Amino acid sequence: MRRIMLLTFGWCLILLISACQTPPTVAEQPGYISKSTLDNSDPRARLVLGSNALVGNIRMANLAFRKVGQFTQAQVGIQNLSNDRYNIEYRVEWEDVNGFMVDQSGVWRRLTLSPTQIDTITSTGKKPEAEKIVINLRLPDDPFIINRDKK
Amino acid sequence: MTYFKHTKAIFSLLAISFILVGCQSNPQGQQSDVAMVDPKSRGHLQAQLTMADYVALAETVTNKMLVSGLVQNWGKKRPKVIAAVPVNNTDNENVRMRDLHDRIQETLFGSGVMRVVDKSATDFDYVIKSELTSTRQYGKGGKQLVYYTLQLKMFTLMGELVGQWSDDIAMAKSQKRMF
Repeated sequence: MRRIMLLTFGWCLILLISACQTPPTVAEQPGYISKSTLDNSDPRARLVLGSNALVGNIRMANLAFRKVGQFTQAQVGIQNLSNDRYNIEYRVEWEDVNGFMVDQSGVWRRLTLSPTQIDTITSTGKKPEAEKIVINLRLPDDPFIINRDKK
Repeated sequence: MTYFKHTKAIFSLLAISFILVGCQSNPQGQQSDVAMVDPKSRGHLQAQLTMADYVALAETVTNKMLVSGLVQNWGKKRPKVIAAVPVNNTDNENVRMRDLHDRIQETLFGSGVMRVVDKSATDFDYVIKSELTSTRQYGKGGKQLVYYTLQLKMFTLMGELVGQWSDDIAMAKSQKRMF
């Protein structure tokens, strides 16, 4: 009887210790953790893929920036590397030189890419301090689509 | 003996409760039949414009306007502009033109390149008039193809057209399902 009690007590203790362990920490400072869904190879542009199904199939290329009056305009090529037709959504945000978000007004927009097609996204930062562009890409998503990550 | 029985029962209960607590998933909360959604997403229940569509239309036409040669030539002048309420020329009289107007005005004002004045103002440089139009095609089984176009036109005080910009949104409604 004493052995059973000791065993139960030990088991409870193990459970208690395992429950009290610290959870995994969030990303360390500074910067985002490098992932296959994140392309921040250009200091003025960041591409975030919202789905693993897009990794290796969709990429950004031929970035161009210009000053239009007091605003900055960016042009980004979106290349479909696959032989599939992609219906994707994108949203553009703008950051200032220090990485502060200065324009998050953009809504999700639809883009259709035929096999191997290259299309161009053009956006203007509607604040004079807008310097860097952030492009979020994902498979079409709305509250009525289920299993959106499965292509 | 009774003491041991009680202790055993207490320890068993403790063990079960630890297991139950340990096995539960991270608390996610429960939702009712209505869920909060991303206001920037473009979900549609009908082939009609939503608030996110107003934002998209307003943003695109004003973007085109802001990078135009006319506005670039203003430099730091910041002329006074009246943004008129858009005219609804669609087949749906329930489109919220006031909301569309507010979105256009918000984008114009936020850009900082012009001063937006009320329509009652007597001192201004330009008037921005806009118009929303639509074309709709019906197919078998409730299929629909709708195009919405927003036109933005800028006139001088003398009524001269100095700029015109537009954007389209196309929506396709699929066939009604049998089951």
